[in-house]
Amino acid sequence: MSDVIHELELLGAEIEWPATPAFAPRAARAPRARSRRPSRRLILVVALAVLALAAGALAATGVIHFGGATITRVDTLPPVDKAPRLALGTPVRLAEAERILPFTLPPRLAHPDAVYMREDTINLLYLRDGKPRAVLTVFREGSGILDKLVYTTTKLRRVRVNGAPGLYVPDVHVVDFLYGGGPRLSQPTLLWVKDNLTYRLEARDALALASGG
Amino acid sequence: MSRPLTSEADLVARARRGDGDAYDQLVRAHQDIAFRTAWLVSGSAADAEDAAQEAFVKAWRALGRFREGAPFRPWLLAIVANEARNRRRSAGRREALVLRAAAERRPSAGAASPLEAAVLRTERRDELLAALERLSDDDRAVLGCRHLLGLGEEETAAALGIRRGTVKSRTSRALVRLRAELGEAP
Repeated sequence: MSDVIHELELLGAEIEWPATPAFAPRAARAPRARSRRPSRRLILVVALAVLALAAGALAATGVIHFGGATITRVDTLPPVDKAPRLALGTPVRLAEAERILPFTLPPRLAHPDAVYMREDTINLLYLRDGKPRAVLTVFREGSGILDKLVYTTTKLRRVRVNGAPGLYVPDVHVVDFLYGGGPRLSQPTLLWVKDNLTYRLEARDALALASGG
Repeated sequence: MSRPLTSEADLVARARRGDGDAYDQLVRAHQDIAFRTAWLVSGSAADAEDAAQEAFVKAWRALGRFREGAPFRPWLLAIVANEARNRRRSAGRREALVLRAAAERRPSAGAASPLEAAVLRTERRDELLAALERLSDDDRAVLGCRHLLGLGEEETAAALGIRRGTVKSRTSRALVRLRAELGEAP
């Protein structure tokens, strides 16, 4: 078998096929009206505009404000950037970052491998074996930089992070609007609020990293 | 692993006798591959849904003409794909293939975590996807059926409404064009 055929077969397992709808195999139903559909980008823009306009109406059913983050429950996630680039900002020294935002790091996150600043937001990158393991973002409440869309079925957990109130989003099906990029899917994320600062830790083991001594 | 032939044959036999529950089970067993095939052919999830739904109803009504003992899936895929072709979108308007979220992908060597995959993307995977998207509808459909969905030649022929020999030649030519898109020697 040639390499490209093998690669195609591997790729097939990684394709995000559209979710199979619920069919009624023996019941005819009227087909949807055919129409020229707008582009995915336009759909996304409209969806976000509707979400923004309807935020108040959704509050009772699915919008959670936590620190500087807004989490909206939706039935369907919008299209995501399939090749996201995490623009973490300009590299700065940790001491400089601490002067900009007086944040406190949990013990296991006290020594980031790199620190970046982007629009008054601090991003701390943690590596393991030279590869990204976690990103901790710190920003002020009210900065409005973080919106998350989660499935209506996602079970959010209220937790404590070293005594501070926290919210854990265990589902990987989370779309962020962060770092100025397009929406993307996120790993499990832990949010906590301390001294008017919102902390967002994206890592597979976020709870252990943030809470461990 | 596929359903044992006797089990499917039994379901087909029961469905041919009018057992709706048996037919529902048959559809559930094949609806994913049917819907994805329809999507590849039509280029639209909405059209694929309509096509598959219509095809399932037509297949139910046509079960009396199904040749007993024949494999069910190619027969069903042929009906689904025919409906999908009728809804096929014009070139350039098909929905793009998209990779699953990094966190959902199967672990592979060198990609230890979803975050890593997000930060350090596998360039080759993206190149391959982009090259597929640059192919013509016919080329993408045949490669999609054969190698992304893993359909056999007979099933691909049924899905695309072409002869089995045409599947072979079209696949071969599509692979040449894909390698050219990737900048590789044929």
